[in-house]
Amino acid sequence: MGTSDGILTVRELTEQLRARLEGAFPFVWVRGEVSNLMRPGSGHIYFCLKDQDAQIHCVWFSQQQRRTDNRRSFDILTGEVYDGLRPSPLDTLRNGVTMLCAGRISVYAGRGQYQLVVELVQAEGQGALALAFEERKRKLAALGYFSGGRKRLLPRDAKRVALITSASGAAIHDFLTLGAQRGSGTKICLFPALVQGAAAASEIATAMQRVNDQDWAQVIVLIRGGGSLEDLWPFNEESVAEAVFQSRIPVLAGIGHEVDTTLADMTADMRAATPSHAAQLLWPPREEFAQRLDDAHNALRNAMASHLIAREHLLQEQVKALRWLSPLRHFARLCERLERMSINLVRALPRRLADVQRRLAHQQASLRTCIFRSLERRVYTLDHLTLLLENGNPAAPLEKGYALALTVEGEIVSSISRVLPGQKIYVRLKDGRLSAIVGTVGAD
Amino acid sequence: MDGTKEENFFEEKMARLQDIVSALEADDLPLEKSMSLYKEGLACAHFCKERLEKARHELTVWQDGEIRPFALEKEAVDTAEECP
Repeated sequence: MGTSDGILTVRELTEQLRARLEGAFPFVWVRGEVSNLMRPGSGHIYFCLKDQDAQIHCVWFSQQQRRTDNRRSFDILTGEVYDGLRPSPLDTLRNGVTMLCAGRISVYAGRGQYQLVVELVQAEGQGALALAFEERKRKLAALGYFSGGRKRLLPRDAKRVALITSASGAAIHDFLTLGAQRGSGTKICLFPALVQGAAAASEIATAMQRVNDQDWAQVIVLIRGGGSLEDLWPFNEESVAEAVFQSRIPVLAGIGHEVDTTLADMTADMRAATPSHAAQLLWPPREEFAQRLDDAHNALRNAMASHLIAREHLLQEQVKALRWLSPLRHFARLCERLERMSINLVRALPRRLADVQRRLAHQQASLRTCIFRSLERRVYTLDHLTLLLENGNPAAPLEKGYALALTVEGEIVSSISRVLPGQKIYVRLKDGRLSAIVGTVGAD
Repeated sequence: MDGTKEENFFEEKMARLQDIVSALEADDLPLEKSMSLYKEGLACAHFCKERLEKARHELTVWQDGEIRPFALEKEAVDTAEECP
Protein backbone atom coordinates (compact mmCIF):
# COMPACT_ATOMS: atom_id res chain seq x y z
CA MET A 1 0.00 0.00 0.00
CA GLY A 2 2.64 2.50 0.98
CA THR A 3 6.36 2.88 0.50
CA SER A 4 8.91 2.64 3.30
CA ASP A 5 9.39 6.40 3.58
CA GLY A 6 5.61 6.94 3.96
CA ILE A 7 5.33 8.90 0.76
CA LEU A 8 2.33 7.98 -1.41
CA THR A 9 2.04 8.14 -5.12
CA VAL A 10 -0.93 10.06 -6.51
CA ARG A 11 -2.54 6.87 -7.60
CA GLU A 12 -2.01 5.34 -4.12
CA LEU A 13 -3.60 8.34 -2.41
CA THR A 14 -6.47 8.37 -4.85
CA GLU A 15 -7.12 4.71 -4.29
CA GLN A 16 -7.19 5.26 -0.52
CA LEU A 17 -9.65 8.15 -0.94
CA ARG A 18 -11.82 6.07 -3.26
CA ALA A 19 -11.91 3.22 -0.75
CA ARG A 20 -12.97 5.53 2.08
CA LEU A 21 -15.41 7.65 0.11
CA GLU A 22 -17.11 4.85 -1.70
CA GLY A 23 -17.32 2.89 1.52
CA ALA A 24 -18.83 5.80 3.41
CA PHE A 25 -21.49 6.67 0.74
CA PRO A 26 -22.60 3.44 -0.96
CA PHE A 27 -26.10 4.87 -1.68
CA VAL A 28 -27.16 8.42 -1.09
CA TRP A 29 -30.00 10.79 -2.06
CA VAL A 30 -29.01 14.31 -3.05
CA ARG A 31 -31.25 17.24 -3.83
CA GLY A 32 -29.96 20.05 -6.00
CA GLU A 33 -30.43 22.23 -9.01
CA VAL A 34 -29.23 20.80 -12.30
CA SER A 35 -26.57 22.76 -14.17
CA ASN A 36 -23.94 22.16 -16.85
CA LEU A 37 -26.08 19.39 -18.32
CA MET A 38 -24.32 17.58 -21.17
CA ARG A 39 -25.63 14.71 -23.27
CA PRO A 40 -22.71 13.60 -25.49
CA GLY A 41 -23.02 10.94 -28.17
CA SER A 42 -21.89 8.21 -25.79
CA GLY A 43 -25.35 8.29 -24.23
CA HIS A 44 -24.00 9.00 -20.75
CA ILE A 45 -25.37 12.13 -19.13
CA TYR A 46 -23.13 14.53 -17.24
CA PHE A 47 -24.34 17.34 -15.02
CA CYS A 48 -23.79 19.13 -11.75
CA LEU A 49 -26.14 19.34 -8.82
CA LYS A 50 -25.71 22.57 -6.93
CA ASP A 51 -27.16 24.70 -4.26
CA GLN A 52 -26.11 28.12 -2.96
CA ASP A 53 -22.88 26.95 -1.39
CA ALA A 54 -21.67 23.86 -3.14
CA GLN A 55 -21.88 21.66 -6.15
CA ILE A 56 -21.23 18.05 -7.00
CA HIS A 57 -20.45 16.45 -10.33
CA CYS A 58 -22.84 13.73 -11.42
CA VAL A 59 -22.71 11.11 -14.10
CA TRP A 60 -25.67 9.06 -15.23
CA PHE A 61 -24.40 6.17 -17.30
CA SER A 62 -26.52 4.92 -20.12
CA GLN A 63 -26.80 1.45 -18.56
CA GLN A 64 -28.38 3.05 -15.48
CA GLN A 65 -30.70 5.13 -17.60
CA ARG A 66 -32.26 1.97 -19.01
CA ARG A 67 -33.46 1.10 -15.57
CA THR A 68 -35.74 4.11 -15.74
CA ASP A 69 -38.64 2.15 -17.11
CA ASN A 70 -41.49 4.58 -17.64
CA ARG A 71 -43.89 1.81 -18.58
CA ARG A 72 -44.12 0.85 -14.96
CA SER A 73 -47.44 1.99 -13.48
CA PHE A 74 -45.97 2.75 -10.07
CA ASP A 75 -42.95 4.56 -8.79
CA ILE A 76 -40.34 2.11 -7.49
CA LEU A 77 -39.09 4.63 -4.97
CA THR A 78 -42.24 6.20 -3.61
CA GLY A 79 -44.79 3.56 -4.48
CA GLU A 80 -46.96 6.22 -6.17
CA VAL A 81 -49.37 4.60 -8.61
CA TYR A 82 -49.92 6.17 -12.00
CA ASP A 83 -53.05 6.17 -14.10
CA GLY A 84 -51.28 6.61 -17.36
CA LEU A 85 -47.73 6.69 -18.56
CA ARG A 86 -45.20 7.89 -16.10
CA PRO A 87 -43.08 10.81 -17.25
CA SER A 88 -39.49 9.89 -17.92
CA PRO A 89 -36.85 11.72 -15.87
CA LEU A 90 -34.75 11.61 -19.01
CA ASP A 91 -37.16 14.17 -20.42
CA THR A 92 -37.58 16.23 -17.30
CA LEU A 93 -33.87 16.56 -16.59
CA ARG A 94 -33.03 20.12 -17.63
CA ASN A 95 -30.77 22.90 -16.48
CA GLY A 96 -32.34 24.91 -13.67
CA VAL A 97 -34.66 22.14 -12.54
CA THR A 98 -34.33 20.91 -8.99
CA MET A 99 -34.00 17.12 -8.99
CA LEU A 100 -33.60 14.31 -6.51
CA CYS A 101 -30.77 11.96 -7.50
CA ALA A 102 -29.86 8.67 -5.88
CA GLY A 103 -26.57 6.83 -6.35
CA ARG A 104 -23.13 6.17 -4.94
CA ILE A 105 -20.14 8.45 -4.49
CA SER A 106 -17.14 7.45 -6.55
CA VAL A 107 -13.76 8.97 -7.23
CA TYR A 108 -12.76 9.68 -10.77
CA ALA A 109 -9.03 9.15 -10.62
CA GLY A 110 -8.30 10.62 -14.03
CA ARG A 111 -9.45 14.08 -12.88
CA GLY A 112 -8.94 13.67 -9.20
CA GLN A 113 -12.51 14.48 -8.41
CA TYR A 114 -15.33 12.78 -6.60
CA GLN A 115 -18.70 12.43 -8.24
CA LEU A 116 -22.15 10.99 -7.83
CA VAL A 117 -22.77 7.99 -10.02
CA VAL A 118 -26.49 8.40 -10.49
CA GLU A 119 -28.82 5.44 -10.47
CA LEU A 120 -32.23 7.04 -9.99
CA VAL A 121 -33.51 10.48 -10.86
CA GLN A 122 -36.77 12.14 -9.84
CA ALA A 123 -38.06 15.66 -10.01
CA GLU A 124 -38.00 17.21 -6.59
CA GLY A 125 -41.18 18.53 -5.06
CA GLN A 126 -43.33 17.62 -8.06
CA GLY A 127 -45.55 14.66 -8.30
CA ALA A 128 -45.76 12.66 -11.43
CA LEU A 129 -49.01 14.39 -12.41
CA ALA A 130 -47.41 17.80 -12.29
CA LEU A 131 -44.60 16.52 -14.46
CA ALA A 132 -47.04 14.96 -16.88
CA PHE A 133 -48.95 18.24 -16.94
CA GLU A 134 -45.79 20.16 -17.84
CA GLU A 135 -44.92 17.63 -20.48
CA ARG A 136 -48.32 17.74 -22.12
CA LYS A 137 -48.43 21.49 -21.84
CA ARG A 138 -45.21 21.71 -23.82
CA LYS A 139 -46.43 19.22 -26.36
CA LEU A 140 -49.85 20.85 -26.90
CA ALA A 141 -48.31 24.31 -27.00
CA ALA A 142 -46.05 23.07 -29.78
CA LEU A 143 -49.18 21.87 -31.62
CA GLY A 144 -50.65 25.35 -31.35
CA TYR A 145 -53.45 24.42 -28.94
CA PHE A 146 -52.97 27.55 -26.85
CA SER A 147 -52.34 29.95 -29.70
CA GLY A 148 -54.11 33.27 -29.19
CA GLY A 149 -54.80 33.47 -32.92
CA ARG A 150 -57.30 30.62 -32.86
CA LYS A 151 -59.37 31.96 -29.97
CA ARG A 152 -62.87 32.81 -31.11
CA LEU A 153 -65.17 35.41 -29.61
CA LEU A 154 -68.12 34.12 -27.66
CA PRO A 155 -71.56 35.18 -28.91
CA ARG A 156 -72.98 38.02 -26.85
CA ASP A 157 -75.97 36.93 -24.78
CA ALA A 158 -75.85 33.39 -26.21
CA LYS A 159 -79.25 31.88 -26.83
CA ARG A 160 -78.30 28.22 -27.28
CA VAL A 161 -75.82 26.88 -24.79
CA ALA A 162 -74.53 23.35 -24.49
CA LEU A 163 -73.44 22.69 -20.92
CA ILE A 164 -71.00 19.87 -20.35
CA THR A 165 -70.56 18.99 -16.71
CA SER A 166 -71.89 16.73 -14.00
CA ALA A 167 -75.67 16.85 -13.57
CA SER A 168 -75.17 17.33 -9.86
CA GLY A 169 -72.65 19.24 -7.84
CA ALA A 170 -71.50 22.74 -7.12
CA ALA A 171 -70.44 23.65 -10.64
CA ILE A 172 -73.83 23.39 -12.38
CA HIS A 173 -75.52 24.91 -9.34
CA ASP A 174 -73.20 27.93 -9.24
CA PHE A 175 -73.41 28.37 -12.99
CA LEU A 176 -77.20 28.27 -13.13
CA THR A 177 -77.71 30.32 -9.98
CA LEU A 178 -75.61 33.19 -11.27
CA GLY A 179 -76.90 32.69 -14.80
CA ALA A 180 -80.46 33.21 -13.58
CA GLN A 181 -79.64 36.87 -12.89
CA ARG A 182 -78.20 37.41 -16.32
CA GLY A 183 -79.02 37.29 -20.01
CA SER A 184 -82.38 37.70 -21.69
CA GLY A 185 -83.45 34.05 -21.70
CA THR A 186 -81.37 31.19 -23.02
CA LYS A 187 -81.96 27.57 -23.91
CA ILE A 188 -79.42 25.54 -22.01
CA CYS A 189 -78.98 21.87 -22.82
CA LEU A 190 -77.01 19.85 -20.32
CA PHE A 191 -74.85 17.08 -21.69
CA PRO A 192 -74.06 15.17 -18.51
CA ALA A 193 -70.53 13.85 -18.16
CA LEU A 194 -68.44 12.52 -15.34
CA VAL A 195 -65.92 15.14 -14.37
CA GLN A 196 -63.71 12.99 -12.18
CA GLY A 197 -62.23 9.53 -12.40
CA ALA A 198 -60.98 7.26 -15.11
CA ALA A 199 -64.04 7.45 -17.35
CA ALA A 200 -64.40 11.23 -17.15
CA ALA A 201 -62.05 12.21 -19.98
CA SER A 202 -63.73 9.97 -22.54
CA GLU A 203 -67.22 11.07 -21.42
CA ILE A 204 -66.26 14.71 -21.74
CA ALA A 205 -64.69 14.15 -25.16
CA THR A 206 -67.76 12.20 -26.32
CA ALA A 207 -70.09 14.95 -25.11
CA MET A 208 -67.98 17.55 -26.95
CA GLN A 209 -68.23 15.48 -30.09
CA ARG A 210 -72.00 15.05 -29.71
CA VAL A 211 -72.57 18.77 -29.27
CA ASN A 212 -70.53 19.45 -32.39
CA ASP A 213 -72.41 16.77 -34.35
CA GLN A 214 -75.76 18.26 -33.42
CA ASP A 215 -74.58 21.71 -34.46
CA TRP A 216 -77.29 23.37 -32.38
CA ALA A 217 -75.38 25.24 -29.72
CA GLN A 218 -73.77 28.64 -30.19
CA VAL A 219 -71.31 27.99 -27.41
CA ILE A 220 -70.12 25.06 -25.31
CA VAL A 221 -69.67 25.64 -21.59
CA LEU A 222 -67.33 23.14 -19.97
CA ILE A 223 -67.28 23.51 -16.19
CA ARG A 224 -66.26 21.71 -13.04
CA GLY A 225 -65.98 22.69 -9.39
CA GLY A 226 -62.72 22.93 -7.50
CA GLY A 227 -60.57 19.98 -6.50
CA SER A 228 -57.06 18.66 -6.25
CA LEU A 229 -54.82 18.27 -9.26
CA GLU A 230 -55.82 14.62 -9.30
CA ASP A 231 -59.51 15.54 -9.22
CA LEU A 232 -59.09 17.92 -12.14
CA TRP A 233 -56.90 15.52 -14.03
CA PRO A 234 -59.45 14.51 -16.72
CA PHE A 235 -59.30 18.10 -17.95
CA ASN A 236 -55.58 17.67 -18.49
CA GLU A 237 -56.02 14.58 -20.60
CA GLU A 238 -55.02 15.00 -24.20
CA SER A 239 -58.32 13.55 -25.42
CA VAL A 240 -60.23 16.37 -23.70
CA ALA A 241 -57.83 19.07 -24.83
CA GLU A 242 -58.04 17.71 -28.35
CA ALA A 243 -61.86 17.68 -28.28
CA VAL A 244 -61.79 21.32 -27.16
CA PHE A 245 -59.21 22.16 -29.80
CA GLN A 246 -61.22 20.56 -32.58
CA SER A 247 -64.62 21.89 -31.56
CA ARG A 248 -66.22 23.95 -34.33
CA ILE A 249 -68.34 25.61 -31.66
CA PRO A 250 -66.54 28.10 -29.38
CA VAL A 251 -65.74 26.67 -25.96
CA LEU A 252 -65.92 28.52 -22.65
CA ALA A 253 -64.14 26.57 -19.91
CA GLY A 254 -64.42 27.23 -16.19
CA ILE A 255 -62.67 24.44 -14.32
CA GLY A 256 -61.79 24.43 -10.64
CA HIS A 257 -60.93 27.55 -8.66
CA GLU A 258 -59.10 30.67 -9.75
CA VAL A 259 -55.71 29.12 -9.11
CA ASP A 260 -56.37 26.01 -11.19
CA THR A 261 -55.50 25.98 -14.83
CA THR A 262 -56.06 22.84 -16.83
CA LEU A 263 -55.04 22.09 -20.37
CA ALA A 264 -58.72 22.19 -21.34
CA ASP A 265 -58.90 25.73 -19.88
CA MET A 266 -55.84 26.76 -21.82
CA THR A 267 -57.15 25.28 -25.06
CA ALA A 268 -60.63 26.79 -24.73
CA ASP A 269 -61.57 29.93 -26.65
CA MET A 270 -62.17 31.66 -23.37
CA ARG A 271 -61.21 30.69 -19.85
CA ALA A 272 -63.35 31.47 -16.86
CA ALA A 273 -61.78 31.29 -13.41
CA THR A 274 -64.77 29.42 -11.95
CA PRO A 275 -68.16 28.08 -13.11
CA SER A 276 -69.79 31.26 -11.72
CA HIS A 277 -67.35 33.35 -13.69
CA ALA A 278 -68.32 31.37 -16.79
CA ALA A 279 -71.92 32.53 -16.32
CA GLN A 280 -70.66 36.11 -15.96
CA LEU A 281 -68.65 35.88 -19.14
CA LEU A 282 -71.51 34.27 -21.04
CA TRP A 283 -74.37 36.64 -20.25
CA PRO A 284 -74.51 40.36 -19.51
CA PRO A 285 -76.35 41.21 -16.28
CA ARG A 286 -80.07 41.65 -16.71
CA GLU A 287 -79.83 45.23 -15.42
CA GLU A 288 -77.66 46.03 -18.42
CA PHE A 289 -80.50 45.00 -20.73
CA ALA A 290 -82.96 46.97 -18.64
CA GLN A 291 -80.71 50.02 -18.85
CA ARG A 292 -80.29 49.63 -22.60
CA LEU A 293 -84.04 49.33 -22.89
CA ASP A 294 -84.63 52.42 -20.75
CA ASP A 295 -82.10 54.36 -22.80
CA ALA A 296 -83.78 53.33 -26.03
CA HIS A 297 -87.21 54.17 -24.58
CA ASN A 298 -86.03 57.63 -23.54
CA ALA A 299 -84.39 58.15 -26.89
CA LEU A 300 -87.66 57.24 -28.58
CA ARG A 301 -89.62 59.77 -26.50
CA ASN A 302 -87.02 62.49 -27.05
CA ALA A 303 -86.83 61.81 -30.76
CA MET A 304 -90.60 62.01 -31.08
CA ALA A 305 -90.73 65.20 -29.00
CA SER A 306 -88.01 66.82 -31.13
CA HIS A 307 -89.80 65.65 -34.22
CA LEU A 308 -93.06 67.24 -33.07
CA ILE A 309 -91.34 70.48 -32.10
CA ALA A 310 -89.70 70.63 -35.49
CA ARG A 311 -93.08 70.04 -37.15
CA GLU A 312 -94.65 72.79 -35.05
CA HIS A 313 -91.92 75.22 -36.09
CA LEU A 314 -92.51 74.30 -39.67
CA LEU A 315 -96.24 74.80 -39.22
CA GLN A 316 -95.69 78.25 -37.72
CA GLU A 317 -93.50 79.19 -40.63
CA GLN A 318 -96.15 78.05 -43.05
CA VAL A 319 -98.88 80.01 -41.23
CA LYS A 320 -96.69 83.07 -41.44
CA ALA A 321 -96.16 82.48 -45.13
CA LEU A 322 -99.86 81.93 -45.64
CA ARG A 323 -100.70 85.20 -43.92
CA TRP A 324 -98.29 86.99 -46.18
CA LEU A 325 -99.92 85.49 -49.21
CA SER A 326 -103.57 86.09 -48.12
CA PRO A 327 -105.93 88.19 -50.46
CA LEU A 328 -106.34 90.87 -47.79
CA ARG A 329 -102.61 91.22 -47.62
CA HIS A 330 -102.45 91.26 -51.39
CA PHE A 331 -105.08 94.03 -51.53
CA ALA A 332 -103.18 96.02 -48.96
CA ARG A 333 -100.05 95.64 -51.00
CA LEU A 334 -101.88 96.79 -54.14
CA CYS A 335 -103.24 99.85 -52.31
CA GLU A 336 -99.80 100.64 -51.12
CA ARG A 337 -98.51 100.38 -54.63
CA LEU A 338 -101.28 102.61 -55.96
CA GLU A 339 -100.51 105.21 -53.32
CA ARG A 340 -96.90 105.15 -54.28
CA MET A 341 -97.79 105.56 -57.92
CA SER A 342 -100.14 108.48 -57.16
CA ILE A 343 -97.44 110.27 -55.32
CA ASN A 344 -95.10 109.70 -58.19
CA LEU A 345 -97.74 110.95 -60.58
CA VAL A 346 -98.31 114.15 -58.64
CA ARG A 347 -94.66 114.73 -58.49
CA ALA A 348 -94.25 113.94 -62.15
CA LEU A 349 -96.85 116.50 -63.52
CA PRO A 350 -95.06 119.81 -62.82
CA ARG A 351 -91.88 118.29 -64.00
CA ARG A 352 -93.62 117.23 -67.18
CA LEU A 353 -95.14 120.71 -67.71
CA ALA A 354 -91.85 122.44 -67.22
CA ASP A 355 -90.38 120.05 -69.63
CA VAL A 356 -93.04 120.74 -72.26
CA GLN A 357 -92.68 124.48 -71.75
CA ARG A 358 -88.98 124.20 -72.15
CA ARG A 359 -89.41 122.28 -75.33
CA LEU A 360 -92.06 124.77 -76.57
CA ALA A 361 -89.80 127.74 -75.94
CA HIS A 362 -87.05 126.03 -77.68
CA GLN A 363 -89.24 125.31 -80.67
CA GLN A 364 -90.55 128.86 -80.71
CA ALA A 365 -87.03 130.12 -80.85
CA SER A 366 -86.26 127.72 -83.63
CA LEU A 367 -89.36 128.83 -85.46
CA ARG A 368 -88.41 132.44 -85.12
CA THR A 369 -85.00 131.79 -86.48
CA CYS A 370 -86.44 129.84 -89.35
CA ILE A 371 -88.93 132.59 -90.30
CA PHE A 372 -86.29 135.23 -90.04
CA ARG A 373 -83.98 133.28 -92.28
CA SER A 374 -86.78 132.56 -94.70
CA LEU A 375 -87.70 136.28 -94.87
CA GLU A 376 -84.12 137.21 -95.38
CA ARG A 377 -83.89 134.71 -98.17
CA ARG A 378 -87.05 136.11 -99.75
CA VAL A 379 -85.91 139.75 -99.45
CA TYR A 380 -82.73 138.79 -101.15
CA THR A 381 -84.63 136.98 -103.88
CA LEU A 382 -86.98 139.97 -104.24
CA ASP A 383 -84.08 142.31 -104.58
CA HIS A 384 -82.52 140.10 -107.12
CA LEU A 385 -85.73 139.73 -109.07
CA THR A 386 -86.36 143.47 -108.85
CA LEU A 387 -82.96 143.98 -110.28
CA LEU A 388 -83.65 141.48 -112.99
CA LEU A 389 -87.04 143.07 -113.57
CA GLU A 390 -85.43 146.42 -113.84
CA ASN A 391 -83.10 145.04 -116.40
CA GLY A 392 -86.05 143.58 -118.37
CA ASN A 393 -88.12 146.81 -118.38
CA PRO A 394 -88.68 147.83 -122.03
CA ALA A 395 -88.73 151.46 -120.98
CA ALA A 396 -85.39 151.15 -119.38
CA PRO A 397 -83.37 151.65 -122.60
CA LEU A 398 -85.43 154.78 -123.24
CA GLU A 399 -83.50 156.40 -120.43
CA LYS A 400 -80.32 155.76 -122.36
CA GLY A 401 -81.77 157.38 -125.49
CA TYR A 402 -83.31 154.41 -127.21
CA ALA A 403 -86.81 154.65 -128.71
CA LEU A 404 -89.67 152.18 -128.69
CA ALA A 405 -91.90 151.76 -131.77
CA LEU A 406 -95.53 150.90 -131.12
CA THR A 407 -98.43 150.26 -133.38
CA VAL A 408 -101.53 152.30 -133.04
CA GLU A 409 -102.95 149.40 -131.15
CA GLY A 410 -100.10 149.70 -128.72
CA GLU A 411 -98.17 146.65 -129.74
CA ILE A 412 -94.43 146.77 -129.86
CA VAL A 413 -93.02 146.82 -133.38
CA SER A 414 -90.29 144.30 -132.91
CA SER A 415 -89.87 143.47 -136.64
CA ILE A 416 -90.16 145.26 -139.99
CA SER A 417 -92.66 142.68 -140.96
CA ARG A 418 -95.16 144.17 -138.49
CA VAL A 419 -95.42 147.49 -140.41
CA LEU A 420 -96.09 148.65 -143.85
CA PRO A 421 -94.90 151.84 -145.58
CA GLY A 422 -97.34 154.63 -144.91
CA GLN A 423 -98.57 153.03 -141.63
CA LYS A 424 -98.98 155.30 -138.69
CA ILE A 425 -96.92 154.35 -135.69
CA TYR A 426 -96.02 155.81 -132.36
CA VAL A 427 -92.50 156.29 -131.20
CA ARG A 428 -92.01 156.44 -127.53
CA LEU A 429 -89.05 158.29 -126.12
CA LYS A 430 -87.78 158.91 -122.61
CA ASP A 431 -89.93 161.80 -121.96
CA GLY A 432 -93.00 161.22 -124.22
CA ARG A 433 -94.24 159.96 -127.55
CA LEU A 434 -94.57 161.12 -131.00
CA SER A 435 -96.48 159.84 -133.97
CA ALA A 436 -94.78 159.06 -137.23
CA ILE A 437 -95.48 157.67 -140.67
CA VAL A 438 -93.42 154.72 -141.95
CA GLY A 439 -91.56 155.71 -145.07
CA THR A 440 -89.79 152.80 -146.57
CA VAL A 441 -89.42 149.40 -145.14
CA GLY A 442 -86.35 147.44 -145.83
CA ALA A 443 -83.68 145.47 -144.10
CA ASP A 444 -80.35 147.02 -143.17
CA MET B 1 -83.46 20.92 -31.67
CA ASP B 2 -85.90 23.72 -32.24
CA GLY B 3 -86.54 27.21 -30.99
CA THR B 4 -84.01 29.11 -33.04
CA LYS B 5 -86.72 31.30 -34.61
CA GLU B 6 -88.13 33.00 -31.53
CA GLU B 7 -84.95 33.28 -29.57
CA ASN B 8 -83.76 36.55 -31.05
CA PHE B 9 -87.03 38.43 -30.59
CA PHE B 10 -85.62 40.51 -27.80
CA GLU B 11 -82.54 41.61 -29.75
CA GLU B 12 -84.57 42.04 -32.93
CA LYS B 13 -87.09 44.25 -31.19
CA MET B 14 -84.28 46.19 -29.51
CA ALA B 15 -82.65 46.69 -32.89
CA ARG B 16 -85.99 47.76 -34.37
CA LEU B 17 -86.41 50.24 -31.53
CA GLN B 18 -82.97 51.70 -32.26
CA ASP B 19 -83.85 51.95 -35.96
CA ILE B 20 -87.08 53.76 -35.15
CA VAL B 21 -85.23 56.22 -32.90
CA SER B 22 -82.72 56.86 -35.69
CA ALA B 23 -85.52 57.36 -38.22
CA LEU B 24 -87.29 59.82 -35.95
CA GLU B 25 -84.06 61.68 -35.31
CA ALA B 26 -83.47 61.99 -39.05
CA ASP B 27 -86.54 64.28 -39.08
CA ASP B 28 -87.57 63.89 -42.69
CA LEU B 29 -90.68 61.81 -42.10
CA PRO B 30 -94.30 62.78 -42.67
CA LEU B 31 -96.10 63.32 -39.38
CA GLU B 32 -98.43 60.35 -39.85
CA LYS B 33 -95.48 58.07 -40.56
CA SER B 34 -93.56 59.31 -37.53
CA MET B 35 -96.64 58.84 -35.33
CA SER B 36 -97.04 55.27 -36.49
CA LEU B 37 -93.31 54.66 -35.98
CA TYR B 38 -93.53 56.10 -32.49
CA LYS B 39 -96.39 53.77 -31.67
CA GLU B 40 -94.43 50.84 -33.05
CA GLY B 41 -91.40 51.93 -30.99
CA LEU B 42 -93.50 52.05 -27.84
CA ALA B 43 -94.80 48.57 -28.61
CA CYS B 44 -91.21 47.33 -29.11
CA ALA B 45 -90.13 48.85 -25.79
CA HIS B 46 -93.14 47.33 -24.06
CA PHE B 47 -92.45 43.94 -25.61
CA CYS B 48 -88.78 44.02 -24.59
CA LYS B 49 -89.60 45.11 -21.06
CA GLU B 50 -92.11 42.32 -20.66
CA ARG B 51 -89.71 39.85 -22.19
CA LEU B 52 -86.94 40.93 -19.87
CA GLU B 53 -89.17 40.66 -16.81
CA LYS B 54 -90.17 37.16 -17.82
CA ALA B 55 -86.75 36.09 -19.02
CA ARG B 56 -85.79 32.67 -17.72
CA HIS B 57 -83.22 30.21 -18.91
CA GLU B 58 -84.83 27.04 -20.16
CA LEU B 59 -82.99 23.98 -18.97
CA THR B 60 -83.01 20.63 -20.74
CA VAL B 61 -80.82 17.60 -20.62
CA TRP B 62 -79.54 15.22 -23.30
CA GLN B 63 -80.42 11.81 -21.97
CA ASP B 64 -80.66 8.47 -23.73
CA GLY B 65 -80.45 10.11 -27.11
CA GLU B 66 -83.18 12.69 -26.55
CA ILE B 67 -83.79 16.10 -25.06
CA ARG B 68 -85.72 16.09 -21.80
CA PRO B 69 -86.70 18.81 -19.37
CA PHE B 70 -84.27 19.13 -16.52
CA ALA B 71 -84.33 20.67 -13.08
CA LEU B 72 -81.57 20.78 -10.53
CA GLU B 73 -82.20 18.44 -7.68
CA LYS B 74 -82.35 20.32 -4.43
CA GLU B 75 -80.31 17.72 -2.57
CA ALA B 76 -77.67 17.67 -5.21
CA VAL B 77 -77.32 21.40 -4.86
CA ASP B 78 -77.29 21.28 -1.10
CA THR B 79 -74.66 18.61 -0.82
CA ALA B 80 -72.75 20.30 -3.63
CA GLU B 81 -70.63 17.27 -4.29
CA GLU B 82 -69.21 16.21 -7.57
CA CYS B 83 -70.14 12.78 -8.71
CA PRO B 84 -67.07 10.62 -8.47
